[in-house]
Amino acid sequence: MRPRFPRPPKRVLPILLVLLTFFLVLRHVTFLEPVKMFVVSIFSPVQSRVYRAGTAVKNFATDASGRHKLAEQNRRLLDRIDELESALAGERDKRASREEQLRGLRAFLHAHQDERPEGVLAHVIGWGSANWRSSIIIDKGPAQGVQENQPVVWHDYVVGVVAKTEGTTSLVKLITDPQCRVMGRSVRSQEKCIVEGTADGRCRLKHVFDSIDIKKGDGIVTTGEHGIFPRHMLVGTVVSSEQGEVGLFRNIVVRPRMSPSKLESVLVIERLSSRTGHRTKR
Amino acid sequence: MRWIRVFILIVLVAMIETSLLPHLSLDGMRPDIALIFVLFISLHTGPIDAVPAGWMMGLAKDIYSVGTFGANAFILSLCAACMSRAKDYVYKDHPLAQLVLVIMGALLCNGLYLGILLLSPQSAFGSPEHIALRLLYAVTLTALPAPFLLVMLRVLKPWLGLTDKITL
Repeated sequence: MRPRFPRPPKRVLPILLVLLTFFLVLRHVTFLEPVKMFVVSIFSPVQSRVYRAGTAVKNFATDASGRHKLAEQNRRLLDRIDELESALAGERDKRASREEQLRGLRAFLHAHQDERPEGVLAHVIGWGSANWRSSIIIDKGPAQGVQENQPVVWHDYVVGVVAKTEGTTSLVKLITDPQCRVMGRSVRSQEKCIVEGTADGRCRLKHVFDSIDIKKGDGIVTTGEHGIFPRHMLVGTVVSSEQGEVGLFRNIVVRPRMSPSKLESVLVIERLSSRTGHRTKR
Repeated sequence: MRWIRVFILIVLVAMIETSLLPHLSLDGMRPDIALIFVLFISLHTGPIDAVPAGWMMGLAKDIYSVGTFGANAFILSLCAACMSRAKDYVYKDHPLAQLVLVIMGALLCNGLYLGILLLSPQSAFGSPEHIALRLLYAVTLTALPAPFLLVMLRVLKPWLGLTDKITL
């Protein structure tokens, strides 16, 4: 006769699940990340279709509102304003750079040689599910050359950084995510700064001393330091600059140029190079 | 409870959360239908079934987001445990009671998530006023559709094998 072991009570499973997950949260485990991205890549075809269906429904609702023409004109004008603002910020930044060159800094002249990024064009197939984090899911992964920590841009502005990859899918951490940081510089004053995302859905400049000349309306662009992001990419515009509570630093809020809800495609930069004649994979 | 059907519904909810709901966002905050789903399961079953269902739903959310893996699984399983207990003290089929439970659940989930974010290394927070405003958006956007969604989900009760039988 086989020995019969007493069965554990039913309530053990829920308690174990909660304890196990609490342990995962406390330890910040990373070994499950490949499994996570594997699941995302499995569901990415379905995800892509649901996303397109959602976009189609949204577009249909917009059309049916009876203000289609006006909305379209308005959208075009807003896009055009955004484009012109970006172009203006970029041009101002370039002009400031040239003035620096004229002062005879040979080393600086070398640093301003054109960087030609090689990139992979990717389509957005979904957003991250957590409310307090900012991320998107794209349809390109290691199979197309996308790797973790590669910068993600669109047009002439910064979108974010590749956080996780698997197969033909990647998770991109946007610049508004509380754990994303980009090295930036004011277009007007050329003051350097660190732009970081916050849990309140915006961006701010980190540890900016009161004496540093950054004002409301200043465009913030990437510096190109560390070779991660290309130079002169627009990050956003300063919308408020106030004296901090401590008095040493200023509280500077930046409105990012990137708008997650408008993103349909992005460019993942594989590497930066000063060589000429590079081709961008499409 | 029929777990395979629950799993199918969890995948569907995760797909909707990552594909359709961002169109309804307000200041980046979206309705949390995962929480509404967990509340629905919790209202019609005991903690023994509600906690694993909440855990699975949270895991699906964790898979589709950056950040601490397991945070949503922990929060939603805890939320399921609290909800399945709290339902015994309210008239659970009344829309007002459901609304109150959703608001409490949304406050609990978002509060816990912010707490975990605070404990995570290198997290930036921004202005407390704006965070409070976003918290209000998150709770309101989740609470508003909850009574309608719970009525719609009630149709699926027999399909999911929910019998209102308390197992604990």
